[in-house]
Amino acid sequence: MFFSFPFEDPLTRTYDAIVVGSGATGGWAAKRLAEAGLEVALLEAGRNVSPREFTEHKPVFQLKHRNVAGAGDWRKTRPVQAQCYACTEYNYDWFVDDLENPYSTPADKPFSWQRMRIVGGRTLCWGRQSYRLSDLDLKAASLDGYGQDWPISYQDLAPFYDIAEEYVGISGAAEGNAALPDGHFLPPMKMTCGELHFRDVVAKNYGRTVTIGRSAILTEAHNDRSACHYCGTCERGCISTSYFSSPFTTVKDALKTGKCTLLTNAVVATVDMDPATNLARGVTFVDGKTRQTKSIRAKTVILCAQALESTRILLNSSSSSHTAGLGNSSGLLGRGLMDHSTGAGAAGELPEFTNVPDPYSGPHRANGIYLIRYRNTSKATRQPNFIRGYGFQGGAGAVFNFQADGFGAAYKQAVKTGKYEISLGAFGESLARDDNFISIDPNLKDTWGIPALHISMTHGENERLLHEDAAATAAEMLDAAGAKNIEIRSAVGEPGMAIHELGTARMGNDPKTSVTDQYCQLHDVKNIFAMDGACFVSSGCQNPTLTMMAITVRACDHLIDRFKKHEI
Amino acid sequence: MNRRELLRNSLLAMGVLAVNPRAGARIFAAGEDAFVELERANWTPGFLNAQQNETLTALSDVIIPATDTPGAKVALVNRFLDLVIAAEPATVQKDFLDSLEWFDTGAQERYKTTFVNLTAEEKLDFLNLVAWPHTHPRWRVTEKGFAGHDHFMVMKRWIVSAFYSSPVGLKEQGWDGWAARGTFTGCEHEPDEHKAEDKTGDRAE
Repeated sequence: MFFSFPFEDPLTRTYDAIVVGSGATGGWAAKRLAEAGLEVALLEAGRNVSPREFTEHKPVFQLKHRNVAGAGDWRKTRPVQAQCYACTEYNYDWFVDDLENPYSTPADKPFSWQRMRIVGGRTLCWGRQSYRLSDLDLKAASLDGYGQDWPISYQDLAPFYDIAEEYVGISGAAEGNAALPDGHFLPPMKMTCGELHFRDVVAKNYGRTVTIGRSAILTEAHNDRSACHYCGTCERGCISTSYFSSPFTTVKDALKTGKCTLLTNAVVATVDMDPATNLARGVTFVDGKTRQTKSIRAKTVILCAQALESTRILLNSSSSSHTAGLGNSSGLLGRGLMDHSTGAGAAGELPEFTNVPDPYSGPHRANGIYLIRYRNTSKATRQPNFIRGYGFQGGAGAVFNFQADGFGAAYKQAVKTGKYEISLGAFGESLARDDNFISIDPNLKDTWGIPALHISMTHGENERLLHEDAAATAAEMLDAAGAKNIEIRSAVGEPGMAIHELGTARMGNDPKTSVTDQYCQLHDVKNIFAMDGACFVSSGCQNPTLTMMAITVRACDHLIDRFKKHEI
Repeated sequence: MNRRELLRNSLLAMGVLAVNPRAGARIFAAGEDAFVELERANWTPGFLNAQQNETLTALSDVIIPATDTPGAKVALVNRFLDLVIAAEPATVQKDFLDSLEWFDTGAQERYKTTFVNLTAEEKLDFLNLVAWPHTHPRWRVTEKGFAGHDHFMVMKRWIVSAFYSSPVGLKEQGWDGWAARGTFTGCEHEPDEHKAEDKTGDRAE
C-alpha cells in the first residue's frame, strides 16, 4: 500500500534516502530527513496500524480465552513471540508469525527473538523506560580494559539526547547521579509509600539512588499529545497517544511534510549496489502481499530495521566485490551481539504497609522505580570478580492476594485485603563478544524466500557473577527495608528476553575493528547507514531505545549537512 | 453483568472512531464480547460431560461461594473453563480432568456418594481436608502421598483464574464498568512521613 503520492508510482523515483523500518529509529530518521527537505521513502515490512485496533480498555472477559496460558490457536503460530510479556490474546498479530519468520540457533544456545512487523514496530509495545548512557558506559573499555570504547563521548551525544527527550516527552526526576545522566524531564510520576520508604532506606544505608522510572509516558500534555490517563496497559495501544510510539509521532510528522512516502508490506531483502561507484543505488524488497520482487532507488540507504534485521540485510547483500556481505571488510559484521542479561532479583512483602489494593478501575501507573547502577562506578565500588554493572527496575505496592490460602468466604476476603509486595529485577550489562554472532543460515529462508538468520549467543561468566551479586544485594536491600518472605533469583535468563538486541555492526574509528563510523555510515560504502541498535559498541545496563533515537538524530543531522554540502 | 455497563465499557474501549463494528479491527470484531457466548440460555458443555460439568459447578461454588457478592456460579466459571480447557494442550486437559474426577472418587470413598450430592456441611468438611498442605515444619512430617491437596490446588487455580477474570470477578476487584483511569497520586504523605497506613487511611504511629 502506498501513501503520500497516490498518483505516481513511488518506485519510479529516485529518493534522497530510503529508510528501512518505521520503529523508534526509522521514524526519527524519516522525520528528521523529511523535515530538512529531503525526499524520503520509508519502507516497513508489515502493515499499517490504526487506533481502531487498540484494546487497552477492553476488559479481559471479553476475550474468548482471557489470555489464559496455553489456550488459543495464535500460540501455535507464535511460540517464540508468546514468550514476550507484551504478546497476548489482545494484540498477538502485531507480532510476527514465527512459522513465516524462522531463524535458527545452535541446539544448546536458545535465543528468543521477539519482534514486530507493523508500522511503529516495537514502539507499539515497548516498555518505555528511557535512560541516557554516560561515559561510564561509552568509555568503559578505557576504564576496565575490556572491549572497545565508543568513538563518541557523552558530550557528543548529549545535545541529541536533549532533542529526543524534548520531542518524545520523558517523565522522570533529576538525581545528579553521574552513572545515569539527568535529562529534560516532564514531571515525574509518583512513588508509592513502600517505594519512598525503600528509596530512603537504600539512600541512608547504602548511598544508592532509587528514582522513579524515566518513562516515555506523558505526565502532562506535550507536543499535541494528551497526558496519561493511567489505564495501565500501554502494550495494547493508547487512544490518547500518551506514550511514545512512532506511528503517531515521528512517522506522522514525516508524512505531514509531504516529503515522505510510506510503503508498507515492503520486506527488504538486499541493498543494491552500483559496482562502478561502490555506492548503494537502492534496495530490493518483496511485496509482502503479492510476493512480487521490486526495487526502489535512492541516493542513500538507511537501515533502521532493528539490529538483527539490519545486519541480516547487509549479510544478504553480498556481491563479487563484497563477498561476505556489505560492510564486512573487517569480518566483524554480525559479531558482538548483545542483549541485557535478565532474570536476577529479589521479591518480598512489606507487612508494615497495609494499604488495600488499588481498585481495578482506579488509576494504574505503567511504570516503576529504577535503582541506578552502583557497581564498578568508581574505585570504591570496583568489584573483584566482575566488570561493568546492573540497574534494577522494580516496584512496591498493594496487590490483590490471589495466592491466599484456603477457600470460601475467607479466601474471597483475603484476596480483597491484599498484600504489600516489593520486587527488584536486574538488567545487567551484556559484554560484547565476537563469539556471540549472527550469520545467514544457508539452509533456511523465510516465507518470502529471503535467507534467514542463524543466531548464536550465550551470556558468559561475567553476566553470571554479576547476576549473583545483583540477587544478593537486592535481598540485602529488601531486608534492610523490612521486607519479609524474601525470595531471590540469580540465574541468567535466555538471551533475547530483555528484547534489547544490540551490536553486530558496531561503530568505531578504525575500519579494521568496526563496521560503521561514528555517524553510523558503513566504512566500506559511503551511502549506507545502520542507524539502530546494530551500531552499539557496548550495551551499558540501561534500556537502549532513547540512546538509539539520539544516535539516529545525530547521524541524520550529519547526513543532512553532507547533503547541504553536496557531498551526496 | 449489567448490559449497560458492558456497552459503556465497550464503547470506551473502541474509541470514537471504532463504533462501526467492521471498521478495521482484526483480532475481534469491534465490541466483540466473548462473555455473551457463555450467557446463552441454551448453553451446554462442549468439552466436559454432564457429570464433570456438575462436579465443576459444585466445586467452584464451594471454593468461591456467593457471599455479600456473587460467587462462581454467577460468574459462569464452569462454562468458561469448559471453553478454555478445550483449547489447552492434551497434558493440561488430562491434569484438569484427573483432578476434577478425584473429587468424585474422593467423595465416593468418604461419603459413598458423588461430590455434587454431598450436603453443604459435608462439602465444607471435605474441602477442609484437602485445602491445606498436609505438612508442618515443626512436625517434620510431610504426607507427600496425600494427593487430595494437589488436586485441590489444581482446581483452585483454574477456578480462581476463571472467577477473577469474569465480570463479577472484576467487580470484586473494584471494576466499575469503565476502564481504569484517573491520576496516580502515589504516597500523599508529607516528605519523610510516608509511613504505613491502616485500613481506614489513618496514619500509623
